[in-house]
Amino acid sequence: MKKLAVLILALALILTFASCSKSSSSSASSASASASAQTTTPSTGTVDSEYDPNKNVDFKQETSEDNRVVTIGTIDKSLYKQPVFVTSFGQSTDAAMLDTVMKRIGVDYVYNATATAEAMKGYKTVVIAVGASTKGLGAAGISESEETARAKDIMDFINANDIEVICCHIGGSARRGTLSDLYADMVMEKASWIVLKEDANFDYKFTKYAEEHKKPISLIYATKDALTVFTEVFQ
Amino acid sequence: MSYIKNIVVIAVALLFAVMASVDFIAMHRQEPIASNPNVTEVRMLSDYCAGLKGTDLDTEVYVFDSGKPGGALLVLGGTHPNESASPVAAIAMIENIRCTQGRIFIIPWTNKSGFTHTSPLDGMQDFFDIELSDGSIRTFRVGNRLTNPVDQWPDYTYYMGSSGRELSDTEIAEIRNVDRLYYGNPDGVLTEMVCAGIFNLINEEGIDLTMDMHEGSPEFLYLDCTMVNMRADIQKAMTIAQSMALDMQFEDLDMRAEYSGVKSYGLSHRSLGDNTDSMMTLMETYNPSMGPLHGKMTDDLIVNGNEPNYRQAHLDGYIYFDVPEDGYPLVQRVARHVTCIRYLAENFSQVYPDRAIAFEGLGTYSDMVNAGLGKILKPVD
Repeated sequence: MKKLAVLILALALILTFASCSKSSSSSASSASASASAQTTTPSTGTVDSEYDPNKNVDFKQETSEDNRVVTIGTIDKSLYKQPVFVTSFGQSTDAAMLDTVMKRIGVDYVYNATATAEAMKGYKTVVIAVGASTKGLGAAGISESEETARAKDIMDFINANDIEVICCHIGGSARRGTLSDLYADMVMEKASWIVLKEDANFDYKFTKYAEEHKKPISLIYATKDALTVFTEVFQ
Repeated sequence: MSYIKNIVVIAVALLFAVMASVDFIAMHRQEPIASNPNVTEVRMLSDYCAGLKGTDLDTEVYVFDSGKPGGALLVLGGTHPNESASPVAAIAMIENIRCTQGRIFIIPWTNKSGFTHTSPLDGMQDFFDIELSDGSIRTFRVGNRLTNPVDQWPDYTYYMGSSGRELSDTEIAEIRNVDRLYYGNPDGVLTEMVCAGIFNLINEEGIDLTMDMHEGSPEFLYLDCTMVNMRADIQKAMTIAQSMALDMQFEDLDMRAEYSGVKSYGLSHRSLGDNTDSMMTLMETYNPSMGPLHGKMTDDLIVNGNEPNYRQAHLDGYIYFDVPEDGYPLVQRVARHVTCIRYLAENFSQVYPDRAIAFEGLGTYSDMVNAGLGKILKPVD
């Protein structure tokens, strides 16, 4: 009995040593089998986008590393008079990116992601970053229904006051989902120009709309290319 | 005869026990950091939370004071020790930078206890080596994302963190995770005292901008992403972060910014952002040695980042993150963290010129990658 106990103790120590040694390693399959939750627990919470990034889609992109901006149709630059008002429909971070872009170009503009319709009085051009983010809505302390009501008020104000609208969807495929698409549809209807980070067009939603309604659309390869297209229009 | 057999078995058992103990004890020897004359002072986190004094979780706080009025930046490395680019980036900054405006505080081993053990069942290894340009070797510990149970045990069956995060069931081990227990409690569990120390440091030193450096496996959807929170003006904070992202994109570095999750209670960006005046940021880079698909754990995997399994998973459409074909070396991840901090500081300083923060000494992203860690890290005795 004593021998058995000693042997078990020795084996346990050997196993302990083996599992802690520097040379311990495992193949991908064994690592997969033994992986605990520790290595896969996200460090920053959960993802709230409705878009499934792991879903394969059959989509041919027009833009590329070497051809970063593709504009279909003709943009009438004379439509977009300054000062410009920049706001968000959906409270994604893309509006803050537009704030940065406008600042770097030197556009005369005002940025307020949660502005009311009345704040746009006197502005001839409104740039709207469309894309819903539950994190952004949470940060702004706004519910989805409140944001949608605000968006409708703004569109009503724009329609009543003959303001030019630029629909800006620069968050890519992560900004696709029921709410994001609702805001995009609301703005595209009135917009005279659409700017789109092209990976969001994986189902050709935006280019089809632009073609059917004869509106110019600028496809950009990456978010930074927004600087190029807005520079061409505002400078 | 049986008497001799028993002695042999016990001797063998003791031999293995001694060898295992040597292995464990070696993990308590922290990496030396090369001296930098620009370091003004080295404090301990227990200066801000007395309960940490004399424990394995008390940790060094390196201070750089430019002597010029301005803001204050806090850099947290090693919140999760196994996210190697984080502590190495902090150490690279400590050994190289000079603060030219305001003050900079750097903690290289935020969860110091986490560096003293590993995740054996995940096929982790204890150490990795980096060869310096003079031929000498710097050895770094891999560590574990949680506090060593030797220092904090047992995990309770239920715990309510200071920010209201409830830990129970499968998440209860997170009671040893620094990044789940902010804003901390000086009378709580040891890990929570670390959070309290950082919370007090931010308040007492008037920290304006904080960066918590992290890494993740390719399945994680917030890679190359900076989480942002600031209670004073979240819109302004997001514009600062997006401006940083644009700067990085113009250096061909993917980067985006995201609001801190509303319910991410206990995480640094959420709970310190909600409860202090600091603009909180947390950035993640892709770590090829993390995640269940990674191959054999070697120095090559950690330092050079060659991970064909995840590359194949991406090509097969299972992983969204574009896992680089040529690997993702540690130096690129370190350079990405440092570059992110530099651009954040620059853009923060433009928006708040009275609280400007600036440093020099590590150059651009390309400078760092071209130099390599062998030149960035300095020889130590």
